[in-house]
Amino acid sequence: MNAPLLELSELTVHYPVKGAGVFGRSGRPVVHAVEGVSLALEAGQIVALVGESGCGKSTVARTIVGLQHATSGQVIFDGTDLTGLRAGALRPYRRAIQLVHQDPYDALDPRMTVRAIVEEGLRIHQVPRGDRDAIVRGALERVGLTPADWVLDRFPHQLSGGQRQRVAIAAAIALTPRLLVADEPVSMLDVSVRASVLELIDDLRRDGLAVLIITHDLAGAVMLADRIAVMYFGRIVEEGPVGEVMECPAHPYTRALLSAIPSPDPAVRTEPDVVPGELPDAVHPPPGCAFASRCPVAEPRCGESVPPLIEVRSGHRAACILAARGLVPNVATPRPPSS
Amino acid sequence: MTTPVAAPLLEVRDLAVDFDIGRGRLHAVRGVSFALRARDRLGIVGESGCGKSTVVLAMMGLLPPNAEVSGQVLLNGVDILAGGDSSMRPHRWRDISMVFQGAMNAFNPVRTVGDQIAEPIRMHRKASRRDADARVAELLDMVGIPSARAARYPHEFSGGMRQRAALAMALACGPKVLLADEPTTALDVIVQAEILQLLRRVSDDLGVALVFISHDLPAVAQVTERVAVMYAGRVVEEAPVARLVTAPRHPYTAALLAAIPRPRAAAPVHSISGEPPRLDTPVVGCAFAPRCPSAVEVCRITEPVNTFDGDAVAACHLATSAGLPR
Repeated sequence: MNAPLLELSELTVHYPVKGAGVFGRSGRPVVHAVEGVSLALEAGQIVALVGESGCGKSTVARTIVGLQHATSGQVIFDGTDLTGLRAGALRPYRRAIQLVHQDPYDALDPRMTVRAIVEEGLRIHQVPRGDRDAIVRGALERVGLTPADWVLDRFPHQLSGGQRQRVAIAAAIALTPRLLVADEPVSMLDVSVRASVLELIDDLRRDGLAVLIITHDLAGAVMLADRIAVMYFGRIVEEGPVGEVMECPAHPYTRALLSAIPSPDPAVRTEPDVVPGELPDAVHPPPGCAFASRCPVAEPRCGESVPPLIEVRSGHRAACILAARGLVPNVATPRPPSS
Repeated sequence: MTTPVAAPLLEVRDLAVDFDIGRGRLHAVRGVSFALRARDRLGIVGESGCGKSTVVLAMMGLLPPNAEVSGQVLLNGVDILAGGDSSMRPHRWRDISMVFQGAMNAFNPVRTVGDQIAEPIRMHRKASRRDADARVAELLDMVGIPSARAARYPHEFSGGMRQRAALAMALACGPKVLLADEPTTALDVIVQAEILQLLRRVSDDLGVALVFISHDLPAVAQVTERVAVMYAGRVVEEAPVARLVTAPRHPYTAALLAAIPRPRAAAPVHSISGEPPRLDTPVVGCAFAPRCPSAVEVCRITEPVNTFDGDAVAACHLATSAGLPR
């Protein structure tokens, strides 16, 4: 196995609660957004970080790209821990790690042309002026906006959602990053164009790019990820090779997510495999497994302590005491008949 | 399916919507027709800009002033479009009601949720505050929210709870027809599945006819019995959902189905290349022809008419009763 390009080690992010200043002088309450996340990513690999809103997956993304400080733990990129670096030392890494935002409608400045949008990062990172035009054109053609002349002088509002997301990706790859962090790259797009944007991301890895995809869409993530990490309430609850996690989900939460994906076949009724309920309070996290309140197979013991992430099969980890004892049946919801 | 004997509860006939955009006209919806009886559930699917939201906004009389609507929306045989806003107003929220996309924005952030659900009840039913509060508790219970939550503000609700509350508000005046525009699009997958179940149950329990708009065909297939597929302002195929997903007769429907990722199926996923046509110029031939893998010469020349086959209709020159040629 190669040394990982990116390694998160026990990454923890706590946000102070706003407006708690009056009575909260001592022991100011914090939101436990990310709690002890460890994850590795190799060059040319695509890892999907999957979870529901509020699970902390976007906070992980923001911490990797340096938009959020880690409370503790490490973000090791190519052997260097980024969490201790000052702005100057961080600069080359800011170029090597690029973020693609969720919303291509908001991420692009409506008053800038496509040329200016893609060129902006090159200017900031002091790429010589004479080289920029060729790089901008190359990046736009790389993302499938050909010929580049067609799109260079257009404004974002003249483009479709899929084209806009391609522009955003072009702006990221123009800087020849080594890691792309894509936060919900297709969730704002029509289903009909999602596959093509995911295919583009899949294609970029052939250039040796590593990609971390942050998404709530398990079905889409499966299309291109090599590994999948499922987050719940700030922690990774299951992580492993995509095929394994799909075929033999070890954590009841992963099984719940799979069971909730609607089938286009009306004969296969979607019945989410969860107990109705809400997420626990992130200011006062429960002492045990955070999913226990919604888990269909929870035992009293689940509420006692947070289950550690342990290997259930080679390279496949899950944080569930039942999975650890091999008690979560490896029978996922029946596969719908393929048409 | 048997032929409906009773007159339909709701019938949309040849609905068309043009927008005057200054430099020209945008043909957003062209010749859309469908009928619903009580408890019927129809899905309308299509890409952004296909006109699906415009259809339901026209049915509610909620389009902006630059919209020109033609055709009929018959409620129990009476055209509620004919008399403009004054003929629509007595029916809006009372008989035809709507759940909007993005429950985040459907609520006023500085008023309690219960207060906002009570508002249409007090407006339309002239109910007293006490009666309205009782009705709010009943509605919240129906959508699975503890009634004590009525005194809470929207920001204290999760996304799923807010969508449930928006549904309670839409049902407040006991409508006969509910229009739901992308009610689950911004939600997480587990919450989405719960809302889809709730929509099925509410329509069954209350006998409400449902029109469910979404770009997400699987979500629609989980709720409705029939699905209309819209493309460039027109319904290109309408059929019972099981038939539509197993033997689509329109290539666009087939393309939408091929774009759905299925986590445990080996089938590759294909996106639809190209972009939908501009709606400010008249369509020559079939609007889908430039993106259609099966298009032949006639498709680029003549606009296809509807061909009926039992309980299904498709607007495609190549449509046969057996579905698409493979």
